Amino acid sequence: MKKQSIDHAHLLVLSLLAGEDMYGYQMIVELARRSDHTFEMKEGTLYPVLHGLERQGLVEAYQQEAPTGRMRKYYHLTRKGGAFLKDEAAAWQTYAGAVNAVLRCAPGLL
Amino acid sequence: MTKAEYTAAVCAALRRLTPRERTAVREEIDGHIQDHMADLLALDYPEELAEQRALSAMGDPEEVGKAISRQYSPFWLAAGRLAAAALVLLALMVLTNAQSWVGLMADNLQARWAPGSAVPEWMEQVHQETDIRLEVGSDVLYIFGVGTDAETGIVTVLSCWYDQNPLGLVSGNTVTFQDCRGQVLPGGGVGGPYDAAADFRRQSLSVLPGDPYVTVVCERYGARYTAQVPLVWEDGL
Repeated sequence: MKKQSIDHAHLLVLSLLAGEDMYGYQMIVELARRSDHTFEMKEGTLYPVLHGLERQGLVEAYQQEAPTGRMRKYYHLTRKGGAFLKDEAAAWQTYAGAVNAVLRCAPGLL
Repeated sequence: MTKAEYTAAVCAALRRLTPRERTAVREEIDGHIQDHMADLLALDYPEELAEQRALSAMGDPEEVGKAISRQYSPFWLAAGRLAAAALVLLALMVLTNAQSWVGLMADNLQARWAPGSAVPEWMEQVHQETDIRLEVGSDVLYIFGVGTDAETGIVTVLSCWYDQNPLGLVSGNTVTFQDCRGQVLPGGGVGGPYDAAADFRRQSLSVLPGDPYVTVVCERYGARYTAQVPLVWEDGL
């Protein structure tokens, strides 16, 4: 499958954090695994997304020591972020459902 | 490009961030690259190649830095810098005032305890050190030296004003002198070292040789304050 650039990075990051707190590189690895390497994302572009979410209060960060002794910055989904994710996921489902409905009506596609 | 060069390039684009925020971003980006390199090294990549792959995966450092910077409002950085400048200004003002207060207190204490050290050239003209203090409101008139000339009848009186509060300021006080018969004495005076904390004066009075004392008079706010200043004549008068 052809790799896709991410237009809904905020939604994907929030959904990753809905399961557990993660640090940046862990999110990249997990996103690649869950999307079966479908999404193509320059890893550095994750951080503007994370910092933007943090400043909006949708995630919060804390430091935790890695096994190597280095401090890692973990991100945690806030209550506000959880509510935002719920709304955005519902909007996405509506959007995806509408696109699928249109595609189903196109002869010879599905 | 090395890992250090990459993080430096990211930080160079973080114009809206404070130094502390930049350090945090640098550590976070550096940690990400280290994590990626560790995974590649585990797959037996040579270190140099692992570093290059990890950096390549990160994307253009300037774009990453600019994109992070856009997440931060320029208002807060400007407000923070303004606040820091205001704090520095305030500290300088406090420091300047503190120096001023210390200087005023030093002058007050000198007038109170060792006035002669402030006017050593005047002290050469008197032969009688005195300790006459006249309280006028919160101020004190301290007569600390008297000189007499038996041939001319000229009396020299050295005095200073200081406030009873070491940090207090002296008011503008004027005094007159009377001889022992109650006559107001003509005579000139000169001012010495003066600031808001201490005011030194030297009065030259013309009396009859042998007069036992002169009286200093200060009138203020309707009250009259007086003190006698004994005179000692060198030839035994």
